[in-house]
Amino acid sequence: MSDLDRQIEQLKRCEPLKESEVKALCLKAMEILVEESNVQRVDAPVTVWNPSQLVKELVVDFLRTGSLLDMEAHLILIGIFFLPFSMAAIVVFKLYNVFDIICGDIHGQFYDMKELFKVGGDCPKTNYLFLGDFVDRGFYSVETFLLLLALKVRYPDRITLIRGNHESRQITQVYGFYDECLRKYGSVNVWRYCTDIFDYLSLSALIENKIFSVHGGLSPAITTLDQIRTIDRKQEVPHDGAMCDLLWSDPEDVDGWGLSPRGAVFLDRFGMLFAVFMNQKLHLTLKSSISRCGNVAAILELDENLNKQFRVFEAAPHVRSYNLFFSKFSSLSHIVNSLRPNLLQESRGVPSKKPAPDYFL
Amino acid sequence: MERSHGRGVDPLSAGSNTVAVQATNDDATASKLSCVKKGYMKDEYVHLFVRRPVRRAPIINRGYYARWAALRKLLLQFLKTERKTSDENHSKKQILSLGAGFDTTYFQLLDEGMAPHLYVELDFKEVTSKKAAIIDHYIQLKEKVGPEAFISIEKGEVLSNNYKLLPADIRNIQVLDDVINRAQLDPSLPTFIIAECVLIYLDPDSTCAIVRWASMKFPNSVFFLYEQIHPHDAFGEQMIKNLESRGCPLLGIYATPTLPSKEKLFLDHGWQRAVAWDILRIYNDFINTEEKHRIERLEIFDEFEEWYLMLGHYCVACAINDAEGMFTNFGLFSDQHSQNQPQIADLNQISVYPPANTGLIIEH
Repeated sequence: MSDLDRQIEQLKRCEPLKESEVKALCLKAMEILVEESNVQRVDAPVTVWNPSQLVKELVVDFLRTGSLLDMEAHLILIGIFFLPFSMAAIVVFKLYNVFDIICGDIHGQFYDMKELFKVGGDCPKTNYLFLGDFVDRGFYSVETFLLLLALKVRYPDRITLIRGNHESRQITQVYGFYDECLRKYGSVNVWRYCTDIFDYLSLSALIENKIFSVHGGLSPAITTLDQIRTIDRKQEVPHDGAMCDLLWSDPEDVDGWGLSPRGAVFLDRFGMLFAVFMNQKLHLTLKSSISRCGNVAAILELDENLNKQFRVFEAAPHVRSYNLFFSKFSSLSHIVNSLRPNLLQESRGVPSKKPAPDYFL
Repeated sequence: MERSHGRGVDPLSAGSNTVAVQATNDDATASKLSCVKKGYMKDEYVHLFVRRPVRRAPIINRGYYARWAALRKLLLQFLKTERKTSDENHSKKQILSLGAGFDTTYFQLLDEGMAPHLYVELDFKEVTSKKAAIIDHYIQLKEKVGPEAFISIEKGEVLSNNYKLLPADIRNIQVLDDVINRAQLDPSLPTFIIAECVLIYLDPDSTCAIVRWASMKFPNSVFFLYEQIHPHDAFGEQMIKNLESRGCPLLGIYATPTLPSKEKLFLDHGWQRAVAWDILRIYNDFINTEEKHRIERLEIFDEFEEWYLMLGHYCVACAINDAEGMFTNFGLFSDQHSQNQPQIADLNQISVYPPANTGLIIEH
């Protein structure tokens, strides 16, 4: 077993690597990431796995023609909603059939990410695109990010990592990653190595030349993909401008951005489809303070008529049910993989170390 | 649910333990210190009450700032409001703080030259003893209460001309009356009563009794209430559970779960006027716009969805008894500059741009 394989196995057990190993891993990752474009191309195998023939046909049509005009419901699941209790997640993802699994914010929730791999299939068997925000808020930012980085080095064509607004020196000093590195390593070197490699992460992904994926949103400063390609991304996330917008902005319900009155979102800006899933009536997303906001896990289901339905997942009987609560959902990003960390972690044999959340008392 | 009736009060109802409720004071004090250290507000004294400083998340800092700013703005409004009488007492005002904990407002107002004629703080004896000990120990506090002050750590009392700290279980109305006499509060003088995250921990009967008592006692007064609302949505339910598991359940929230019900609490118990705003509205409309711009630059902030949720679950209710007609222009009004600001109450309008100067070091 190579060193890297051993490290991957170790990280899968949620054990952090030695500082020297982190440094070496980051250097190796840098060599791979430096070659990637600001708009990283992702070509995915086309596999359709869905009982519904109609849906399959529609999706294939879409891929061939790039047009969604015939679709009644314009929902294409692009984000992943973390679903430990149901296999429906797989169904929806594979409905899309372009990309096996696209994942939003992980925010250091290692055990939830582990569940994700369990439900979605291990990399490299399954192709993954992670949309940033690997660190901060959760308790295992180190292990989470290092595992993803190790997988990237090991299987560079089977996993794509793009940068979120939390992959930054400034914000990680406020929202936990810096503190966690200091706590786990006794120095800030690992934080430095990681934040240096953040600078190399691509800003966006282009799937099958059709779907543009980014952590935040678009920018008034950007009208073409080439403009994104010309950005010098190897820097700390700036306070304004195109690169900042790509990672920080949220899409809004404004006509100028191609929002159809039916609630779907197309963005026909680059002569292609930029499809996001959004339903104006629903508010999706809780930020990662799961224990303050309660658990949210949902899946978007499309039936054979492409009617959309959100399903809130009841956990196992002994676990209390929860309400689905949404807020604004951005283009493939700021998605929350929220779960009841206490209960779920306990059910996975992981003691919950999370302290009580803060309120105004 | 158990009911407590004045005398011989039983321990706080099932699930609620007095120690945990008192500990909310430590939590709040540490949170206020976290704000102060980041520059949200000035307070030279709060650090004297905190044994182990903690850094809170930006959302907590900002939220405590909003709470502090709302109370401060109303307090200053009150202190500057002039009475229509012209007797020797016409400029004398009083502040009565229920469940004051380690609040340092008196000392801050003194420094600003805005301290009222009389400032009275009440809390459980366990808390006032600690506070008395800290005041006694630190010269910066001790000199503020004056050389003639009587301080008893054992009794949990500080008695000086203009500042009184007294132990009291406020659920006991008789005790409240006794304490008012001891403190030499003059009920006819304009009085600002503060209940900042206090009544919500009590059973509803006690709350009603206190509100009624205050109304009957003080004909020229303002009652400032800050506490939680909306227990029934997802966030509220989770908040209730989390606080329950800390031993400080919000016993009062189901009786007054909404803004109108908070107003009704006062109107039904003798108060002439009552207005309740949630803190999101307070933050957007009431707090000074320039101040908001200032504090929003203090820290990088990436918790907007949660910010709206949290703030939507807290409110300020302001009740007024205006026998003399001095409070006509007093209360919750939009800040003069706020009309031009976009209302950020809708989750659909999140725009997430980091502030330019976050004051963080970018290490390389």
